[in-house]
Amino acid sequence: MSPQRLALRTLMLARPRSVLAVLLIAAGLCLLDLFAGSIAGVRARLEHQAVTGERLGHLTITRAQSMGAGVSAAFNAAISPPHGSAFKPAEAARITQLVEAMAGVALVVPQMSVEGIASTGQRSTLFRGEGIGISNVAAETRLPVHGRLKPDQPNGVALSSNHARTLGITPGSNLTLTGVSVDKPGAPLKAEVAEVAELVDVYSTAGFNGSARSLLMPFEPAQTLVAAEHTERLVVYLAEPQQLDAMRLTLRAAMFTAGLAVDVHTWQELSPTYIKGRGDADFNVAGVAGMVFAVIAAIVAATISMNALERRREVATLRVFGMRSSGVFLMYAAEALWMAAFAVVISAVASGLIAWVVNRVALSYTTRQALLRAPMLVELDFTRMAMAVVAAMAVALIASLAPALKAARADVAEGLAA
Amino acid sequence: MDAMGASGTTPGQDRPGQERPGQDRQGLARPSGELVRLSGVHKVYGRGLTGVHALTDISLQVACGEMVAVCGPSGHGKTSLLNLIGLIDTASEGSVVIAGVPTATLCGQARTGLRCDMIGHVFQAFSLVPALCALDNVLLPLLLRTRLAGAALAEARAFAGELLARVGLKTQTHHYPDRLDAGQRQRVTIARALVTSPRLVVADEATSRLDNGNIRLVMDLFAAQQREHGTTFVISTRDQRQLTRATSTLQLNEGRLCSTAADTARRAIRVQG
Repeated sequence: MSPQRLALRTLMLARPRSVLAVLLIAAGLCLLDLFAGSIAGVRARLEHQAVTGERLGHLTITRAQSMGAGVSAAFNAAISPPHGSAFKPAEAARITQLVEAMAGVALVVPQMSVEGIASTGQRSTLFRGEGIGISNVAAETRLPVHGRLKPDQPNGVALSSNHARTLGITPGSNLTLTGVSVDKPGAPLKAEVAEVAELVDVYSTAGFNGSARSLLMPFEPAQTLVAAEHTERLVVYLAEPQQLDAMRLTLRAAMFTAGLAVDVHTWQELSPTYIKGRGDADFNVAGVAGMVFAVIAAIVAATISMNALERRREVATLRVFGMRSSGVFLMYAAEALWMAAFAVVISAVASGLIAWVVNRVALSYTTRQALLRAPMLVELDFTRMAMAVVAAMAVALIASLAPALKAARADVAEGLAA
Repeated sequence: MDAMGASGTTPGQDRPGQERPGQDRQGLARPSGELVRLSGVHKVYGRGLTGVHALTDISLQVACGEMVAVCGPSGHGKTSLLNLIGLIDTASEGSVVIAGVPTATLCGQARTGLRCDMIGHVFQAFSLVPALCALDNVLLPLLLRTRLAGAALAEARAFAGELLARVGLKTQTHHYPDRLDAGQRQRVTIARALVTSPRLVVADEATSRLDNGNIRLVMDLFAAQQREHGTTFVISTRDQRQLTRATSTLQLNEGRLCSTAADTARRAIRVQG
């Protein structure tokens, strides 16, 4: 009879201590699965916020230029390139034509930065805005998007809630925008507020990122405002976002073949909100995982130690009848692994069930910076779950080593007398 | 009731891989003569002033096919002596020779091998494995020794079941230890000790929890094993009925063999052809 089989049969006796240990390990793994699932939901919203909310798209094409190291340098170079490094109208049109012809591309949108003063006549404020090609990207998503522009209102702008409050305006109100251009004096533009932007998601760039734009407006009026014809960047939305890296390479190659010197950035590189959020999320998951695995190690070590102490006579009997000390060691190590394996199965079922219930009851939560409550969604991350299973098994095995070794070295005669 | 006559066979008969009476596992004639020899054996638990002298200067010989009873008050070294003879423990001083093999120089693995091949154990505290049913507990020495499968496993299971039937547990073969009373557990341990058809059975208070009927049943089984397989028994007991069946008696008092008992032992311990 193999030690592993004997360990399984011992565990199947369902002694209260072993059952409790299995349930506690399962609870720990379940907590980790749900937390990681919740974080996966947060990541998905961060992606949505960056791609759709911040209007970064999946890929951003800029004129090739030397950039400093770091995310902020890449962001500044891509979002606010120096004047003269933007695309001329003919270049922008050619790139747009080339990219739109590529398979897997859903949409190509021109963008440019605008800065200036917004005034209602009674009140004024500085703004830092974005001129964007009006698309249906925002309309197609069911997730909240701040600052929707309306195609039937070419002079309509969206404003951040802070600026709307400062200016004391509501949707339907008029305001005057004055652009600032390095090349020539700004040209006043009469504009109508299409919508007062409001923060509708806790991960809104407006809530987290100081570089977030406070005004959104259609692309052509933005060009008029800064008296320019250039296009700073072209934002590409992909039909299959998971093909991001492959499409980036394809796009680069196509541009190179066409003799166009451009840089292609992913939204992950350009969104400080995502980068910070991802770092925080990874840190939190690592922290919870560390605690869970420490608890699992303590539970396994305590359970195996107590079992070894209580079953000294049983082990001595096995030794008398021919089980080697290595067999005893294997038996206890296998018992720890079986415990972890049972816990894994229970936690997987429990996690799936709890995630289903949580998603179904539509729980929501709010944070200090959020204007609206955010839905609490648990998207079980199966990769992380698999990693947690492997880690739990490894932790259980390692935690059982010391008590198993002690049990294997125990004196047979003393064990029989216990 | 003669338990051996119930089925017409005796444990170990007509089983592949098991020896016949008077033969070892290779089918060769079992060596007759001396099976156990202890010379100047001391057993001390602990060290220094706190050391406990469990056995002092024990010298004895046990011949093949004998049934030796070890008597004495509780705490006077019976279990220690049986542990030494059963190769469960090692002597602090002196030599223990089993079947001509000096055990003091054996490594742990060789001791285990010798113990498993030659000796069956009945423990006072039963020491059944809770995760195994009565049948599997009886099979345990075989399962731990060799990897049994197929027909061999089926045969072994049949033999274990037969042994359980011989100790009166035919209907409890699939009961787990927690479903058996003390007497039934003790009988399972007796069946377990015999399943390998050992040359030597070391039994510590083997019948202490049995009623009169079952004591007779077990003693008959031991006698049949002794008669038909030449098995040697070393039994610690306080039961006078077992003493009458013993071929010799060792009296232990405060870890020493009493002179009269030792003389009796020396007289009684002769080579049994």
